[in-house]
Amino acid sequence: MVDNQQIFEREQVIQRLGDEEVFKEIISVFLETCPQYMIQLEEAIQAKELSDAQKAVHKLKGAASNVGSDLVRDNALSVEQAIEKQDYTSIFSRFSDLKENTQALQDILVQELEKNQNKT
Amino acid sequence: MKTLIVEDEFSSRKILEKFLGKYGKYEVAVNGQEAIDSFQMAWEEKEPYDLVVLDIMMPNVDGQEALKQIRAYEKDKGVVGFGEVKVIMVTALDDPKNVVEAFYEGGANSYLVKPIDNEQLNQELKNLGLI
Repeated sequence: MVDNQQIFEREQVIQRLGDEEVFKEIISVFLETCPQYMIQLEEAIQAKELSDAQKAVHKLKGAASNVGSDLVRDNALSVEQAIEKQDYTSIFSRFSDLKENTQALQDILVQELEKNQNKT
Repeated sequence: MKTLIVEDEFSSRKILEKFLGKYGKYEVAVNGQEAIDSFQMAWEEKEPYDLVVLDIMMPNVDGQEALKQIRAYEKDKGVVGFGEVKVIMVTALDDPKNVVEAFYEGGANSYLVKPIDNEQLNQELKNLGLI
């Protein structure tokens, strides 16, 4: 189990995005799109459609980096590299890590938004 | 400033829209082919872009190819040097070879590594004389 700090660098993201409003908006966008990327990725892996899997995981990698999660970005990069090598054993094991940490990230970001809503 | 944002991933596109929307009008393309089409159309309408922010890795026509075709189109129209549109390539941290190709072969003016940083983008816009 990883702690919140490892999965998401809040202050860094706000600084990079310039203000808290943009930050909230980008989190909302991530929470909308991330489940879609994960479904696309999982289906493509199961169907052994590696080109589709590569496109989905590349998007997820970019999205994770936008919300400040180096952990999920690195997990996505590992999956991407395993896909490039067509190494199914690694693809499945790394996907499993990615799935777990992506879920943890989404849970943290939902809490983050709720915290912000309670403030206003 | 009139900008074309070319990015296939939704949150990255949204960030660029937020950052660049402050400086004027922008249009959006989600792949390289749309970028080339938008670029040519803007030219034909005599309202060319001042800046193209171009993601490198996209499906179908990628950013490298779009950049080559944009520069080829300009050359065909007799546009050289200062008159060329400014192009900032956007790349993933783990993909440096693409940046090299964009600079030495494609004619990019600058590049940014994802995740895009507001301050870094502003600095690049200043360096390119756009703001």
